[in-house]
Amino acid sequence: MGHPASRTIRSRLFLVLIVAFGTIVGIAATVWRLSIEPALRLGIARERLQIARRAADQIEQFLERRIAELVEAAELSLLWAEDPRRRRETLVRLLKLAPALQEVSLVGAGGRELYRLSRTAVYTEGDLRHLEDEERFRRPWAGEVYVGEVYHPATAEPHVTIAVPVRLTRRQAAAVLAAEVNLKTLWESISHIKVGRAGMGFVVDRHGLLVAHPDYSKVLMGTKMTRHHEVREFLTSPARDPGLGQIAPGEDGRPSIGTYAVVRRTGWAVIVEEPAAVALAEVRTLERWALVLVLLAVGGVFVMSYRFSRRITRPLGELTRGVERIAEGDLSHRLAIVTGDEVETLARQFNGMAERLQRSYVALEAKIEENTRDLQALYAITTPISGATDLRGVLENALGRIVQVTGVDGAAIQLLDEQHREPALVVLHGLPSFVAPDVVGARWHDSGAAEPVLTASAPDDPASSGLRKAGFASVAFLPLSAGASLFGVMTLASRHPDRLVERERPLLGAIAHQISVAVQNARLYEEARRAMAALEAKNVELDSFVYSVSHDLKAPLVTLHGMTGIVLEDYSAKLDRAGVHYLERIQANVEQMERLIQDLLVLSRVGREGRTAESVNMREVVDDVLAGLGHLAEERGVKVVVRDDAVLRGIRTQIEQVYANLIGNAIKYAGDIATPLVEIGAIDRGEHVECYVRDNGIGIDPSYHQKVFEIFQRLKEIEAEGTGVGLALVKKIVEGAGGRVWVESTRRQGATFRFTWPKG
Amino acid sequence: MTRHGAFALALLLLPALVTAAHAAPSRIGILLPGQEWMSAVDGLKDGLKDLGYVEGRDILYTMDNANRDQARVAEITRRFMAERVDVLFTITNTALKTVIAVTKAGAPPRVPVVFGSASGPVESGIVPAYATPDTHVTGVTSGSIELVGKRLEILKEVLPDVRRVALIGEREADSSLKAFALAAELAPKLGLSVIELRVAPTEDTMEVARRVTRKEADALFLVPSLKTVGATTQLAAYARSVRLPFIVYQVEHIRKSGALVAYGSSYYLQSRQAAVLVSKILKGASPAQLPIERPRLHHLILNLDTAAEIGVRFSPEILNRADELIGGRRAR
Repeated sequence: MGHPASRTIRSRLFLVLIVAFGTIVGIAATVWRLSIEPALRLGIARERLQIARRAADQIEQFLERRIAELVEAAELSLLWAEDPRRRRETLVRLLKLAPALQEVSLVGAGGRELYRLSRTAVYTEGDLRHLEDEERFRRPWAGEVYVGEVYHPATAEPHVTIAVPVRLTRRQAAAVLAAEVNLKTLWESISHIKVGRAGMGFVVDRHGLLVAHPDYSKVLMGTKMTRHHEVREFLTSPARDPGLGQIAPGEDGRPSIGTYAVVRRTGWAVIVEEPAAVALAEVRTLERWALVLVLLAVGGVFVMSYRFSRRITRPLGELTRGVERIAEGDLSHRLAIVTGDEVETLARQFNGMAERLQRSYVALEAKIEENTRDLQALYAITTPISGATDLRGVLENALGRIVQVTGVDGAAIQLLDEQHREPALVVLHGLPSFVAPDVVGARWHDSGAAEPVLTASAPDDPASSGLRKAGFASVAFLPLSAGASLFGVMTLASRHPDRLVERERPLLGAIAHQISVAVQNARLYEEARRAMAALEAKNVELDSFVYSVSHDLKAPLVTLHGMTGIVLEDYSAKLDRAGVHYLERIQANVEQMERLIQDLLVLSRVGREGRTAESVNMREVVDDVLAGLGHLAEERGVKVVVRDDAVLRGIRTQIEQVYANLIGNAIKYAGDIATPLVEIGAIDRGEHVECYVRDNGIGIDPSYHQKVFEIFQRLKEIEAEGTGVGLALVKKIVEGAGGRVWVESTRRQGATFRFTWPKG
Repeated sequence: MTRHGAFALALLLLPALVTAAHAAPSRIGILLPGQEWMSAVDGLKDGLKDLGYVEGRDILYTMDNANRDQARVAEITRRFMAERVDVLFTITNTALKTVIAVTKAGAPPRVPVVFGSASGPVESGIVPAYATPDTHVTGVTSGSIELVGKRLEILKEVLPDVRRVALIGEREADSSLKAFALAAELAPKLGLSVIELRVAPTEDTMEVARRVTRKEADALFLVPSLKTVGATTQLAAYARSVRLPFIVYQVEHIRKSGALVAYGSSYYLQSRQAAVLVSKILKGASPAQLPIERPRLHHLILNLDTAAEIGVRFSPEILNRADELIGGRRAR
């Protein structure tokens, strides 16, 4: 399961660490590359410079020794200036003692070579030279030691000429001793230069010509090293110190760290170089170790921060779970976090909060229980009240229940009369009759808004003093009101001082309200009953009136009808057409009146049959009705179809009347359409049956759907023959049976009359 | 772990496999002109051993002795060419000339030729120059042809009374011819006269030598050639027998033979020096990149026993000057 909050903490922590470390490593690497590594390279180069310096010094010494040898020999030879043989011997010994000397020559004044001796060549008198124009003579003759340029004779070995002055006196040279020095011995010292593990050194002259090199063949070839980086540096500015620590291509092309030192006497350079990879190998190893250590440290920090973040996220997770559990309702759940830090403090506070929550919940439950008890009490009080109709009985009942439920020792209800001044009804239960309500009523009357008065909180109330004297320690006066008007007071009294206290106010108020409602209901019911009785009486009156009126009306009509009949029969010959017409009209009207009266009679009789209900087959009834109306249908060309069948429970004649009227109407209102059709059917609606009569006639505008059922309403559209009573009759019959009747129709789209009737 | 172990093992073995694949040993064909030059072979082998070549693993030597027969030299050269040796090693100017001729006649790539010692390939004209030698030939020259004059000078210093010097060399050998010419040129300057003993190819060296005694010459002088150098010991014996001072050049000539004076280098040391060149060639260098080298040092060697035997006395200066003294008691 995931705890999103703790995941973000951890990932945020990691992100911060990554960024921090990345930055640190980046900075460190940059600092390393930009300053530490060059410093290290510089250090290495300086060290190499020492080596080059030493080698250069060695070469210096080599040359100095040759010079020294020459000088010594020169001085010796002077001693034997007069003895050629001894002079020769001196020089021969010089050659033996100085293997580097290939050849020596003694030059006298004017540059005339006095003697020339070679290790390999043979020189005789004829081979002596004149050197007055040559540097090798002139410079030493002037007093300075001369070292020439490196050259390769035919044998390819590098040589250099050294010439020293031979002094007799301090002032002037007496002769010059020159020697050709074979530099191949330098090869030995050069190849012995140890530069680190893979470095080497070589020597070039002022022009970049290779003088000595561990690979002797290169020297013999007369290789020029002018393309070499260090050589170029040396050539461009020999006097300047070499730029130390740069990495440049070495002799073999690989990046190397090189440096050089200058041989002062000759202006040669000893170049020392080492492949950068090897020179910096230790540095690189150091780098690698540093990187490993850094990575280890980073890894360690990550692991530790992971472990540490768990210290936070785990308790947080527990906290979350704890909250969830409490939210689900387990208020007894407590967190067990012992980390010894802020999280534990938080957990403890959380537990405290849960504790308080639990306690308040318990308290709340207790309160709810109390309220429920009160409600139940209320219900217990009021349920019997709602059923009763006799006011006094109701009130006595109520008081009894109130006393039972609330545990008070006495209760009383006083209802005021219409003027609200005098008590009209007093019901007592356990209380003496000296309760004085009018003072209380006056108080409420004046104040307007009536609230229960609890004398436990107002012990000096005079109204309760009487009760107090009777031994009732706490008393409550509850107003009984309907809306804004007060109509009574309920008094509750208890011998215990803490029974009717402020805490009970809501309950007492509710009880008072319920009693008020009950009283009102009882009163209303009484009124309704009286009204109903009056109405019933009126209905009966009306029915008998209608019966007698119609009965009384009938007699003269019969006479009228008869008389006009006789006149028509006997005197039609004596009358003109107009006269006959008038009489016929009179008769028709009389017949109409008779029908109307008949209908009214029928209407008044509905409900007075006193017959019992029975199972009636709808189809049978309809067939009977159609039998009577058949001629009418034929006349108008109306087709009648009976679709369903049903069994209804009711008085057969009533059902007949209903169908007679509805089917009659349907046929009458068929209108001028081509194929008038009347459909009769019934739908089983479970407890009752829904019967319908449908026609496709002229229809009824929806605004008249209610009105058609009223008495004497007829549609104006056609000159119908009805009396306007038919549908009213249908309505009375159907509703008397407990059903309902309505019409569904729109103009020119026929009409469907439906009514519900109990199933048989 | 075993998976890593196997991988590591494979990694470790890889270079071994590679080197094994690479390490088909190099083959050196040694063309020995004669038994006398055996020290050169020792020098070569020692030199290569010092450079880290292990015989059998890195290097295989095939040696053939031509017994101073030029025809054999050519034959052996052809054989080495057919066998595709990595380097052909030989000694002496004369043999070198034949080897060069034969290897040049073959199609490229030519077998690299290294000479442990040759008296003067440049001087005798078989190689154009020191610094830019022939495309496939390099080596270490003894400089003996060059030193002819010096040797005459030294002879004069050692034995101031010497006037007539008998030079013994080959009539047909380039080295000898050049040496004879140089000697003829320089001798007069030194106040010496030269008697040329040119041994014909069919002649016997000793027969020719025996023509000279103390009556005809004051000293016998060894001139580079196969035949004469090959007969050094006999010549020395003969010279001693007729009390002629015998001057040779390489130290090997004097150490065992009993000659009187030697001024030159050493076959052994030169070949050791040449081993560096062989190594470079084995590592891929072209002989054209390797100039001919000269010996590090020249030694003056005197044999006191022979001196005593033939009645020669060395002056203190000469004794001082000598780099090595054979026999006798050091009288300093």
